[in-house]
Amino acid sequence: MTTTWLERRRSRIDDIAGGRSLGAEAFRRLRREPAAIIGAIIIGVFVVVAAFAPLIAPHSATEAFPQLQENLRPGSIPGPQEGFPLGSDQLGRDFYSRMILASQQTLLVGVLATLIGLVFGIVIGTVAGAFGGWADTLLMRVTDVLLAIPSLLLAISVAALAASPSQSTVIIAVSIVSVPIFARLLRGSMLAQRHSDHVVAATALGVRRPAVVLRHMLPNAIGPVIVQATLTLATAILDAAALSFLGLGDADPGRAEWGLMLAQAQTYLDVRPALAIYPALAIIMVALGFTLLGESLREAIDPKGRR
Amino acid sequence: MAESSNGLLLDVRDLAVHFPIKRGLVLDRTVGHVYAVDGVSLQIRRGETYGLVGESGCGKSTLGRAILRLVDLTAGTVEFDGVDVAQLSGERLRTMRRRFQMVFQDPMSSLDPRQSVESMLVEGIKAHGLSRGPEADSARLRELVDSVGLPAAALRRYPHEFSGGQRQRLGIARALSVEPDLIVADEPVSALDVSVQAQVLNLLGRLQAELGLTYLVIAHDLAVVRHVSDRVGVMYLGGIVEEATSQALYDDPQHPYTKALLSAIPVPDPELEDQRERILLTGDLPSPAAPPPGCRFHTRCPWRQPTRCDSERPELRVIQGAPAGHRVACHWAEEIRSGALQPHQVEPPVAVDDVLGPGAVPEHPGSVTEILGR
Amino acid sequence: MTAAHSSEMAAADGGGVRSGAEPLLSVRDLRVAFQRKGEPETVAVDGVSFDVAPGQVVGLVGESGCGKSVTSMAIMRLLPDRGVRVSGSVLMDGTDLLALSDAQMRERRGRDLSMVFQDPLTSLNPVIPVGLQITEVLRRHRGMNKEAARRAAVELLDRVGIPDPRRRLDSYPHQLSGGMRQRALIAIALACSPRLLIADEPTTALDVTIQAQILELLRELVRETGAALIMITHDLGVVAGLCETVNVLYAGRIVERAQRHRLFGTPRHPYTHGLLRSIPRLDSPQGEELPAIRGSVVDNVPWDHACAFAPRCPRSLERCVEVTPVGETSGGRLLRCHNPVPASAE
Repeated sequence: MTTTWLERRRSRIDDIAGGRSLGAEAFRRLRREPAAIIGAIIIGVFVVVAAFAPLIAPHSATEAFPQLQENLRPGSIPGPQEGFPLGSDQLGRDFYSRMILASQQTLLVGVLATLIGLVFGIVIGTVAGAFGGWADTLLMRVTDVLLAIPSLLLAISVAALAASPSQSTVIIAVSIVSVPIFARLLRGSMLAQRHSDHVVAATALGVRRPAVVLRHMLPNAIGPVIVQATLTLATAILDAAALSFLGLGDADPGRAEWGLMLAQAQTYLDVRPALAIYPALAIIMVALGFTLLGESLREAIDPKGRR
Repeated sequence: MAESSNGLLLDVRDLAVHFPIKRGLVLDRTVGHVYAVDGVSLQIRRGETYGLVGESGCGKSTLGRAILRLVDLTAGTVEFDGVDVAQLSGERLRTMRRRFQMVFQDPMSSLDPRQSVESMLVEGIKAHGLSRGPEADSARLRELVDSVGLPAAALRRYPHEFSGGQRQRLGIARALSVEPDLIVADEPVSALDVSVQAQVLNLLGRLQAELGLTYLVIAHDLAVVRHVSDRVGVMYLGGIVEEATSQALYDDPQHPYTKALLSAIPVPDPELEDQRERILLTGDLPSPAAPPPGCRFHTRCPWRQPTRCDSERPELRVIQGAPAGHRVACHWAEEIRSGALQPHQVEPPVAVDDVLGPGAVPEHPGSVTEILGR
Repeated sequence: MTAAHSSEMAAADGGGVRSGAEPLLSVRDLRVAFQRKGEPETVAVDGVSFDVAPGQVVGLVGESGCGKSVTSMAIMRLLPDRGVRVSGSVLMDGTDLLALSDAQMRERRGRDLSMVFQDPLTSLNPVIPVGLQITEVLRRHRGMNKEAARRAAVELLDRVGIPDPRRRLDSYPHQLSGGMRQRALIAIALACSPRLLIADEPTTALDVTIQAQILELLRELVRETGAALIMITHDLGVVAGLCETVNVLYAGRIVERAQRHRLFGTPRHPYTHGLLRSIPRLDSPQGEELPAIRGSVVDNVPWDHACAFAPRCPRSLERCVEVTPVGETSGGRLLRCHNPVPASAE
């Protein structure tokens, strides 16, 4: 009986439930990380609210209510009351509905800007990292120049170049800021991959060059870039808010957007600070959510980096 | 091992690989060269195992990779089965790669962590159009993992789920997947646990017997090389200093460096260890960026003579009384062998700042990679 | 469990110490367990006991993961506090090093016992000249002034065979070759004339010809300074020429210990025996199939109710997976095996 047990031990390799990829392992580690769970919950709530904003919000963002406007006078903005849980904004609109509807804008700007930046960054980083030579030198010098300019300043310059401020200029401005970050990061890890044994092994095996780049180098190099993308999402939201705050966003003052709301609230800071505090808190919370998830993703993907 | 086949499979002539050392921010300026491999010729017969031994920085790995065209050659020809591989490029080189494969030192880093074993083995088969339909392929895959002593269940798994020795088996299976003629094994066991090394060495031996493979085994461990090889070449600073059958090399080492290397290897036998006469070399390997003139070993050689050694680079030759295949690159090999010359004390060379100026390169770099900062 | 340990301690009292000599260092029942959040505890060192006499060279041999390095780190008290549980005792001059305060231990490190690590580049501070790293130790531990420390440092570098030591004092670690760095590291370890030197794979990162130089240096130093040396390595060849007593570790326990001629001449534990036969040797018949040990360390079983080596062992019996083998000493040899290789097998 024990000999069979011994035999089983000896042929143990057959018994291990196998076939778990690195991605699956990383996900398993991620699920046990409290920071990741908190981040995921924040983002989850944020996404759900944004997706169903028109259903959740009791009123529209632009509708002004007479019963609120009545009490609106210099030096006093009506606070929470029946039907308006967060009270009025400076123009007699429902502040609660505006907060909720604004999440849509923030999600749109953050996600779109990051995605656009990610796509361009990946293309540039892959070309530079995989092929090297003059293409690498040229692309990296350009990204170096872009990186040398403070990101917000760059975004402001790009947004200011546009004929008229609009939502799309904000998205483009914020995404351009993130392109060099992604490109640099990816190029660095692609270079490391280029000299790694398994890439040399694939070349030695006779695998075609494009397949080596796309199948072996890119998937192994992209991890840090994905992590960076979640972190960039946070800064993109902040940058977009900042641009709106500076008046470089959508010209329509009635539009609900946290950054814009924050900007407009500064006039009424001593009258009703809640008008500034709520949008600021929302921005901070969402940015925190993405940062938490991004950081734990980084640790999960690279467990060696753990202290 | 296979005496029946006498045809040459690999004929390397005057191979040189010089890596440029580049400095500069915007425009790379070449400030010197690392002479990693500098004029090596060697021939390997079909079915033979040729062992290449030497210390780190001697260029043995670079030589192996140059033969496989994984680094660019500076000069020389690499004739593989009558075709000069050094001249090939693009698609012709790629299709030729099927016939010569490599087994790497580090079994973890040489396997793509995101690729399952199955997809890894299929890749080579697909790349060279060896596929014979899904059913035949899956039978082939099972046969492959079985031939390296792993169960078929291994196909579903990922590299990190295996132990070091098993990963090295996978590396061997990958090399076998394209049915090559030559396998270059670069330190195939040095990253493995001692108790696992023998398994992999045995496996390599068995596969050679079954498939008629030709091996070029590169290692720093002379005991390992001697065990698996028919013939052995000893490398020092970019060149081969001695070449012989592995038994002859052990019984009758002719080059001073080979003698020193043999005496330096610890043997797990206290009786032997107590009696052995050690030839201790002083100093370190000179920088391959500034190799000494003449015989490259003369700076550390206990048999160094005042003439010729520091001015004339010795060629590989057969000395009188030695068997035909035993070649040595030493001006004084006859006198050393007969005992007419005796070893003497060597003062460790005082380091000279090299061409690049102080601080540019470690003065006694451990390896080429260290110099290049890779 | 307790019975096993006590009998082993009794056994270990005799083992490894030359008759008459008071042990300089006594490691008793050393156990090191690592605890990571959310994961079960892993025992790296599991009841290791051995003695080192003054001037003696003791070898700890084993493969990666056998606990040899953790043992040395535990003796030096260099393991982190968090997530690590160390028990047992390490007696030196009648004091238990494991019970000392951090400050007291710092006082002893370097003076009583010091360590040489595997990778000389990472154990030297890259931004400080080698000379300064030596004089710093001399000034702190031996209270020398700047001039005296510099003179002593030159002497030390010369002693470990570094050519042109005066110039080398101002070299940074990266300007030295691997062999020179290891020599510099040994010089630092020797700075305060410790009575015990622990060398953890000191030659693994070096080439064979350089390894031979370093081993020769260690041999000389032990002979001349009278310091004891614990040599930790995976290379049986290194041990064969250097160590008087050899401890073979497997999965955190000593499975065999004997004087080197006996251990290599007639290895009794199937692991030692198998390992020695599976290594290709310079003087062994060539080209033959090597008698390999099957499997790898992942196949080990816990020591709780078995012998960890049993699944890989060609001589394993039913008893080997039911009862933990106990270390027994007879004729100066410690052996932890139910079915050892007969003494006449070789």
